[in-house]
Amino acid sequence: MRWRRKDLLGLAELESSEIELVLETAEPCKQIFERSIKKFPTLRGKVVVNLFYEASTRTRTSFELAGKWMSADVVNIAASSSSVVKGESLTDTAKTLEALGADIVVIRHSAAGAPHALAKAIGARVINAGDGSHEHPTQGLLDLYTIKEHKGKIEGLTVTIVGDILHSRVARSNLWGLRKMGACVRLVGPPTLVPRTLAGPGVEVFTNLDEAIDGADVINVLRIQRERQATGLFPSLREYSRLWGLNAQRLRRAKEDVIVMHPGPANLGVEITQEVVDDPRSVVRTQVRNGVAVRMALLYLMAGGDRDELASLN
Amino acid sequence: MSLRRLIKGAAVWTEAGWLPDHDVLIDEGRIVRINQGISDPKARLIDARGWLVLPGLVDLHAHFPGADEDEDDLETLSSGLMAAAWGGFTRVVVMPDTRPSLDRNAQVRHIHYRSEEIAGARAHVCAALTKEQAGEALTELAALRAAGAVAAGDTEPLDDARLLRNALEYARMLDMPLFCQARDVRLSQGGVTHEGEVSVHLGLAGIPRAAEWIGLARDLFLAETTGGRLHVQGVSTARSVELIRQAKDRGVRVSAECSLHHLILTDEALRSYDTNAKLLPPLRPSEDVEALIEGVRTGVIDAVVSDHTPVTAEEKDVEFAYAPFGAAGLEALLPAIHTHLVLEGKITWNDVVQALCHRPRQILGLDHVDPMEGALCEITLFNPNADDVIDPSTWRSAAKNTPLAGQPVKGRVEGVYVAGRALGRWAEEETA
Repeated sequence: MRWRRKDLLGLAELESSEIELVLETAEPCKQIFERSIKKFPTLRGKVVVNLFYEASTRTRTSFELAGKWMSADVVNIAASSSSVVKGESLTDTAKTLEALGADIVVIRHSAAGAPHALAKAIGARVINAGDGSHEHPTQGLLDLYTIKEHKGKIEGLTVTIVGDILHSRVARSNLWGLRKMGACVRLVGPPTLVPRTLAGPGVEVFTNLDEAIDGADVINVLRIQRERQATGLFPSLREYSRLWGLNAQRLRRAKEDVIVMHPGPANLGVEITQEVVDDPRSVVRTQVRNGVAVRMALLYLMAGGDRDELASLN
Repeated sequence: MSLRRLIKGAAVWTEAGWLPDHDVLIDEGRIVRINQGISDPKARLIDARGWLVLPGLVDLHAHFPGADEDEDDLETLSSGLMAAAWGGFTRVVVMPDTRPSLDRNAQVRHIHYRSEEIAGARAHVCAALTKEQAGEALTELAALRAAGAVAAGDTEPLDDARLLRNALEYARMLDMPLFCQARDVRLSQGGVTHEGEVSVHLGLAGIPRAAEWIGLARDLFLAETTGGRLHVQGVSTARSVELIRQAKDRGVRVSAECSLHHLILTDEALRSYDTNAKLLPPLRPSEDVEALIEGVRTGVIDAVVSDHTPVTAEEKDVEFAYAPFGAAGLEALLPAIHTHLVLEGKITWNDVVQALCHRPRQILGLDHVDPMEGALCEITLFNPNADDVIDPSTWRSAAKNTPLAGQPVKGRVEGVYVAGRALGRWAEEETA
């Protein structure tokens, strides 16, 4: 099976079969971690550009490794400011990259919709590596992969997402992806940060964390941005931590086989404690590895690769 | 000397209704005769079979950033007034957010004077309510009124309720309406679109409906307690229509308008992050749109306006959050209203004439202008049968920013007749 669309801008517009394709292709990619020589020859001669308008070590490194292990030429561009400040439009930048031969552009931007503008402007494929509060589809895919890996399935599970849902692109990509794959989603956090409009079939909104994790199969804890407190969305980090911080005591009341996820980097002691991160039920480190595998799979598929051919390389 | 013209075979709007297949003879800027089968060998014939002759339309709300200096800025007075005429308007109210803003009576006089020279619609001026639109000190309202300003109002809401109260009291003496944006500044701060399902989906900061309700309720109470005249710009929600209806029932001297785009688009238009659909107030969901249309039908919303806001392609070609608000609308309005509202049976031609001519003229204190024999000729010619596409590259307006580009429409503005001049397509084709 092959990837059919030009870009990956979000999970909201994907079919479940497309999500399935990426997860299945990531399977052979993950085995690369077991190899002594971490290289597939599949993307030789392809140029992948990481265009990051927002600082990010994890996602950028993850894409960089993914590209390199697939033998692509990877170029990192740290664009420090928006087009407004710089006076060069996003589409202009993109067309320059295309002229330089980019096959795939991976973009991270603080403004929602920036990857859409890019995708419209150029023929190269565009992967959204996080746009404002909109989506972070590769994080959503790696979270789905991690859940499937640990639970054997996604359909029928209950997944609790804790934190600043309103401003979180990770929450959105997870929500759309999980719904498409048949999981039930619980959203919990301060009422100012959990839009009630998201409640609907298969999606419940909570304010009480204990209720929201009761019976859940997965708890996905989001990073809380400290500046939200400054804008009056909740009174203090201390109160946030008291009401929505995941600690060992709370975790004891959760299902025995629950898994705990966090997209990183974590504010330890605020939304999650060190103890929980180190708990055997935490899969935070696995998420990081899976991130590389899922991104390898995506780059491979978007460069025109076939799932079944990759599997035979192993 | 103006030309003698004979419009043949059109449907002519009169107070008593349509006169089908009638001819209109125009001479020296007046309507000489309206009848069937008029012949006049000295008149230039206009084959207007199937066309509509409407009283000249009035746009209460257009921004021409370059109207004062008439250079550099996108949309000068010339390009703006020509766009208005080509869009079927005989008169247009210029908002004060020019550079510099319209604070002084000399600027008002200058715009009137320049308007006489331009082959376009007549300009009226909404002067700034506060100096440099800074929201701090009132402009000289009596002098501005004496210079002919039809209204005063800043293009941003006044944060200071006391200042607005003083302005309403003072302007009452001048019988001058204040054009106000209803919006709580802090509640809407940082918002770029309607707060709701679509904004949450797109990850964009929202502007809640309550921001409009709070601003509107405040302004209505101030109008009520002062007896001043308030004209509410940019009505966008169902509840706002209800608040205005209640205020009118209580006898508050309030009128209201909503823009073309708020009547035919919803916030769904933002799904692709189209910065041309980024408007202020923001596009709202369909339940609000339906209520606005009902408001126009019942007259609670007095006027439909273009809220013509020129923005360059470069300014709009940025990340959604950073793009300026606004869409150009002068040359899209009538075909779009005809296609989406009249042909869909949502409003009638009578509603159109009320909302785009009669009630706006009342607000501005202008006389009635239905076509009749002996009257000054101020008409709009519309061909409702033409198949057309909204194509900003053909516009007279220097602004091309529209969320409607490429949309097929039924109907085309053939032109206007105002102040003794034929303007628009019909005049252009005969001189060519």
